[in-house]
Formats: sequence, structure tokens, C-alpha cells
Amino acid sequence: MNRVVDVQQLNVRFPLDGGRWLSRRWLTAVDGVSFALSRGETLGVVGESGCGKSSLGRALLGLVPIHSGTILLNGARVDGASPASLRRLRRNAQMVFQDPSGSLDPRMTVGQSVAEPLEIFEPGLGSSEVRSRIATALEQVGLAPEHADRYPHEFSGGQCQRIGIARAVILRPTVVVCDEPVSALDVSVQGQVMNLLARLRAELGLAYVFISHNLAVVRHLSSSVLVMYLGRTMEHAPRDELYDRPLHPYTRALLDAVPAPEPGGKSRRLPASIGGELPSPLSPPAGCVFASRCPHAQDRCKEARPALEEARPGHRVACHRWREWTGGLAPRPDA
Amino acid sequence: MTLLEIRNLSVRFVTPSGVVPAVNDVDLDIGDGQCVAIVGESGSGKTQTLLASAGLLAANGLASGSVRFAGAEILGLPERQLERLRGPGIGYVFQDALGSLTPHLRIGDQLAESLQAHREVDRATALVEARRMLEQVHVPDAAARLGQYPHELSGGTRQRVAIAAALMPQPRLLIADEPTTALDVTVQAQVVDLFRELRTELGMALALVTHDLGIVAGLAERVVVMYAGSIVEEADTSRLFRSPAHPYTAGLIEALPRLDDDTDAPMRTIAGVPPPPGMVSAGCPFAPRCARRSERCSVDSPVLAAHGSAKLACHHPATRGGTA
Amino acid sequence: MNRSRGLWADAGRRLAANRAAVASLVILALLCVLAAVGPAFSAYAPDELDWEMMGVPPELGSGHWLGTDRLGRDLFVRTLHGARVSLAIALLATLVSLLIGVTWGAVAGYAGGRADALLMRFVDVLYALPHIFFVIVLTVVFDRSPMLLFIAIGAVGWLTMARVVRGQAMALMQREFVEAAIASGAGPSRIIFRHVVPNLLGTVIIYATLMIPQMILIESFLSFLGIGIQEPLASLGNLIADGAAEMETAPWILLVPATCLVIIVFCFNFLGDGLRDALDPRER
Repeated sequence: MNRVVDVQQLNVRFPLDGGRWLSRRWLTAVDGVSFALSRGETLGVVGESGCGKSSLGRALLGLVPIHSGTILLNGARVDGASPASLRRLRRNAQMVFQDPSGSLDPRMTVGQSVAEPLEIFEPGLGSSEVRSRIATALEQVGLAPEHADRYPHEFSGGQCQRIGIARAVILRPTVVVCDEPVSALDVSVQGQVMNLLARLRAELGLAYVFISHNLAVVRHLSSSVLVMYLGRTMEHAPRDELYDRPLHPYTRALLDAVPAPEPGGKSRRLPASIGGELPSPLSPPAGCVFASRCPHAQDRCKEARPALEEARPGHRVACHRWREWTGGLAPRPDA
Repeated sequence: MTLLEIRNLSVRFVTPSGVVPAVNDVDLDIGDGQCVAIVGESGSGKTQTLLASAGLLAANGLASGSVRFAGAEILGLPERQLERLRGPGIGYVFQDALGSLTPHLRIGDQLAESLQAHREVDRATALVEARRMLEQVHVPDAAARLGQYPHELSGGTRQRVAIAAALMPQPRLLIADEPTTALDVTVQAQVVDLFRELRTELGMALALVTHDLGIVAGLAERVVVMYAGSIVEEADTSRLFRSPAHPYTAGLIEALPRLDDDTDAPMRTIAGVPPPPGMVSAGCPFAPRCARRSERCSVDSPVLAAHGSAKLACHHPATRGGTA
Repeated sequence: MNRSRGLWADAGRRLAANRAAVASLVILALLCVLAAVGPAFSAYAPDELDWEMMGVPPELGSGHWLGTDRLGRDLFVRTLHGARVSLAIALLATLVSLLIGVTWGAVAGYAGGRADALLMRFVDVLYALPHIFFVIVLTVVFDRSPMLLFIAIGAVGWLTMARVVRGQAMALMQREFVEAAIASGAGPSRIIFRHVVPNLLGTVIIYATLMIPQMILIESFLSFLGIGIQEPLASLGNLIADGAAEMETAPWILLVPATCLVIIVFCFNFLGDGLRDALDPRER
């Protein structure tokens, strides 16, 4: 099969400082997330800051401690892998970061940064071969080969992000984790980077895990979308299914929060309850984690945690009341 | 009445590698109680224009021209008098809310101080006022927040506190510099709602600096679009969104991520990259990225002139229903 | 801007624009050349006694340009010799503390956690030892030798360097480009030596430049106390000690080496300040 990522019941925890040796406290960043991804597909991972979406992306590369669950990357186990075999895994899985210039070493030329994965995984290459691979990678992302001898501070944010993408694809990986790759960029160049990622996906047969806080941003690229809140999956569905028929009130709120680019064109207002406080990840509530901010929450939601159920084929949602608040499965015209 | 009147404002920076122009000859008016959005990408000079207007330019920045606030000239004013003007006159909210709050001071103390710096009130009154202001910006559990430190708050709450701090001396003009850029969309929407509400309740003028036209639509009455240090278009918000005349404005509107466009087509973008700051070209600075450019554009720089009810700097403006 | 400039080239230009730093650099270079080859051009050897000219003040005509000491040794030659010994010890000690301190600190900062705690507690323990007394004890137990002095000075230096580097390294480890390198598949040694160390080199150079005068001062202090460089070898420290004894009757014997010491220390400090401005610009 073309399945390149397979995540089952992933749980990521960080030890907290200050706890006593044995009774150490843990912060659960990702709790029971599962998904699978094939070549050429993109999973959009969406949620607010602190929802665990970045930890999820980093867990795929073994960059954060995996407490339980399994991750298969091209059939190889990431959980429980030794540091050396983790490094080998990264040949096929690379990452693009949020801060375009911050993710490039300021003391290295663009060429050195782009060639770094190549140096690590194909140390035997001759220098002319390396140069031509750098040139190819830079051209692939819309930069000129001459740019290789310049330094990151000479480039704009959008160009730095292209350099970061060139570094991520130079080894022809199968999976690229994109952690908010456009949220630090101007609106006018965000689209350029998104289109570049789409083109590279088609050309190189990549699979992306695309992390963002904005549902509008991931819409073009994603084949399916996973909405996270406080480390848990709230909703996971194929793209059009999720945007046309969101079943979780949190997904609805994320959609309503996208600003409408017309004056007075905003038909929906965010419910006031969305301003409620996020529960502490150190002591998550017994019931639904979103209940404190949910406009449809009832007593039941505060007492029992909703299971992730398959509401429609391929469409999973964790909400006690999805039938009630959506008015059954009747399609909701959003005009 | 015009509250802030900017005329021929130019800002240059003296750097080790020479003088870099950041703002060229900008004219801008903000009326009492008005909300004006200044939109452009990074390096367009939008932030420097307003920093200069509040007398907050970095030490190596030079401003020339004229900035009048409520009739009084600001440029060249000594720091002492600027300080007196800022609090009750002009409030400033920065993008980085954590950076603009003092880390070792409790929220209550910071808010109280920003009031006491400008008005003769005792601490107890200032703290009561601080709590009232936190409630006004919808910080949940305001009384408890007064005793907390900035790092204990979430990003959204921090930005609300920063807004509250700027509002404490009840400024007539609030300048908000990318106030939502570092925030989650859900929080962005709430902060935009908050600004809208504060304007109607407090009647202050608002200058909103942003690269994101999306948040402007529901908030500003007038939009000023800047590119490479100059204003390229200025129009009423509804008019600007309905029929943008400058190709750059049109591009910015089309580039916004939307929930209702065709997902099979590639996203619409503006080709190319903005010129690096300090690049001086003979013609229109946008010409290299413009689909409507002609030979004239690369030699003859268009000047900002009246265009119907709006202002525009373009040789080939779009007319409604087509291009000229 | 056609040619691409790295951060180092940028810093070089900024340093060149700093007049005090450039002047210091020139003076130091001159002094180093003079200390290295100067004595060879003089008619006198550093330990040569001129029986006819004991304790003469500076005078161009006498052949002893900067005078002689009580034993008739030429002060010009002895001071240059002393400067050579002091500079050599300081530079070598700085280099050694640099190597140990940077590696130690970078590893601790990279590893973090318990390894970091262990490495840094070791530094704390060494810090807590009163090393001047320690050196005195050592010189009593073993023989007095320049080597021992050098070890004693170096041992102090690397501790501070390790602390500085460790703090910098920890901050760098939080930077996204280090995480990007890890995500690219880079191993620990690559992270430390390709990404962490080059990025803290600026701080290290500044620190080392400011450390050299400290080293010279410690050396002089120990020699002044009589437990450093011994006669007939000259260092700035024991020259100053000699001069201090004759301060009232023959002030030049003190003033010549003392002036030399002050010039060296001043120049290194100016240079260090210039480097700090050049390598760590808050605004560009």
C-alpha cells in the first residue's frame, strides 16, 4: 500500500519540572490521536495554540517523547526507536517550520542549509554533485541557483520559507510535516507558498501533515482535516465533508472565526461562550474538554467524556450532542 | 474634526550601510472617532508611519514633514512633552503583547501605573479603574488577574491586557499595530469584536495597522493601502472591497484565504516579492509585480491623486467591470 | 548589493569603523611584534648586567633608552621580555580555557537535564575552591615553574568560559534552526559543532578578548607575590614587584613595566568592547 503514515492511539507527554522524583507530574500534549496518510495526501491539523498540534507533528519525526501508542513511518516504528534509527527515519520524513528566517542557521549560506540533509544522509557525494542537487532544489522552490551563496538575512520571509522547503525536499522524502508554514508570512505571499507546496506534492508524490490554526488556510491543500482541542481529536473527516457539514461545535466556531473579506459580509458571529477559559491541560475536566466554551454544552457534557464515533463514513466526531445541535444529518445551507 | 493630520511625512533610517528610506511623502488624516486601517506587507512602511506619529521611532530613525495631533505639531517635540501627550492623547498597542508588558510587574500594578502616570489618582482608585478596564475588555475573572504576572496569561488574554493598559488614560486615538497577527483565529475574531465594541462605547479614534485585509472589513471605515513606503490607494472600506482600483489592492483582496472559493484551482496570489526596503526605482514600485503594467509604469512614478471619492496612485486603475 | 556578505564580513566592517578598537588592535600588534623581535635588536640581553650603569634613569644617549634597574639590567629589553612572557602565558591560558570551556559548556548546554547538572556542579565545585591559595600550596609542594602558573591560570579561566558558553548554548538549543537541523537528521556532534558553536563564537571571541587582560593581571599578581615567574626570567609582574621596592628612589623601574601593563590591558578592553559592538548588533 501507499500508506506512509499510520498513527494509532498516540499519546505524547512532557515531564514537568518541580515534581518530586517518583511522583513527577506530566503534561499530556497529545491524547489518543489516530490517523493514516497515503502518498499524495495531506492531513490538515487544526486547533488553537496549546492544542497539541505541533507536538503531534513533532512526534511523527520522533522529536518529542512518545508515551504510548504507535507511529509507523513508511512501515518503520517511530515509537521506541533508538536515537540512531530515529535519525535514519528522518531521511524520509522532513519538516518545514513556522518562523522562516529563524529556522535557518544565520551563519550558514543558503546552499549549506539546503545541503545539510544531503551531507548527513549521502556523505559520499562529490562537491559538484552536491552543487547540482542544491541548484535543482532551489529551482524547484522558485529560487535561482546563485542564491546558494547568500545568507538568510538577505532574503524576505517568503523567500526564507522557500529555502526551508528546499531543504525539506532535497532528499525526496515521503512525508513532510509543515508546522504553520505560512502564518508568519504576509497574506500576499501565503498563497505563493501554498501553491508551491501543492506543486511539490504533485511532482514528488509527497504526503503532508499540515498544521495551522486557521481552517481557511488548510482548505486548499488538505485531503482530510483533523481538528484538535486540548490534545484530543474533536473531529476528523475528509475535507469537503468537514467544511460543508461540521459536526463538532468547535469546528463550527473555527469556521466562524475566519474573517469574511467583505464589509458586513459576516453572517455568523462567534458564540459568546467561545471566550470561556481553556481548561488546564494538567487537570483536564472529567467530561468533554470543550464543554467550558461550548454554546451547546449540557450537564451530560460536563460529566462524561464523549467517545470518538464514526458519524458518517470516514467522518469521526467526539460530541455527545452532534445530532441535536446540527439538527440531525440534514445538510445545513450556510448562506 | 481631524484628530491626526499627517502631511508629507518621510521616515529614513541611518544604518551602517547607508540611509534607508522607509516612508515616502505620506499624507493621512484620521478624524475624531474614526477608524482607519493602514494595510500593507512587511516593509511597506505602515508601522513606521504610525510610530513616527506617536514619536516612537527608533533612535536611528529620522522623520520629516509634519504630524499634527489635535492641532499641535508632534515631530521634533522633546521626549518630555511627547510622554505627556501619549497616554491621554495617543495609546499604542503592539503586536507582541508579552513584550509590551513588564514581566516582573503584576497586571494590576502595570495598569494602575499607566493611569497614575497621567492623572492624579491614588493607588486604590487606580486599581479599581484597572479592574473596571479589564472587565471592559472582557478579561474573565478580572479581579483575580490584577494579582497575576504577564506570563501566567494566555496569548489572547495578554493582548486584552495590553489593550486595557493603552486604554487606561482614555486616549483619543488608539494605534493598534498588528494586534491580532500573533493570535489564533478564534482569538483574532474576539479581539476584532472587542475593538468594534470599544469604539462605540468610548468614542475613540482607531488606527489599525495590519497586513491582513480580512480583519479590516468589519471594523474600519476607511482603508489606506501602502506599498514600498508610499500610499497607493485610500478609499472607504465598502468601496475598496467592492471595486479596488489599484492592482495591488485587488491582489491583496484576492489573496485572502476564503472558505468559499474553488479548491481545485490554485490559490490566487500576487506574483513576485516586495522590493527590499531602501530600493529606489524610477517608476511605480509595484510595476515589477503588476499584471497591468505598461512601459510608462517603469519610468514614471504615479502620484497619489483623487480618484472619484478615493485617492489612488496608479496609471492603469481598474474601472468597475473591467480594466482601463 | 551584489556581493553577498556573511555575518562575519559584516562584523569586520563594523569593527573597522570603530576607531578605538582599530587603534588598540594596531598597538597590540606592534607590541607583540616588538616583544617577539625587539630584544634581538638591542645591544643588551635581558639578564646582562651593565656594571657601569646601575639604576640609571631613562636617557637616549646612554644606550639604555628606558634606563636600567639596580643591577644594571636594561629595562627596555626586560620589559619587552616580560611582556612577551606575560602575553604568551595569557594567550596560551586563554586558548586552553577556550577549548575546554567551549566544549564543556556546549556539551552541557546541548545535553541539558542530568548531564548538564552533573557537568555544571563540577564547575561549581572548582569555582568554590580558593584557587590563589591552592596555587600557593601547589607551588610549595611542587617546584615553582611557569608551567604550574599557566595551569593555575588556565584552570580559573575555563570555568567562567564554560558557564558563559553553557548559557548561550541552552538559548541556542531553543532556536528553531537547531530544531530544524535535528529534524533534518543531524546527530549530536553535528548540532554542537556545526550549529551551536559557530553561533556562540561571537560571544566567545568577545569574552576571550576581555579574558586575556584578566589573565595577565592574575599572572602579574602571582609573580608580584613571588610565586609566579622567577628571576632572572622577567614577567610584567615580577618587574613591577622589583620596581615597587625602588618606587621612591628610582620610580622609572616601576613606571616602565607598569605603563606597559596598563597599555596592554586597556587595549584588550577597548578591542573587546569594539568586538562586542561589531558582533552583537541589536539593530541591523
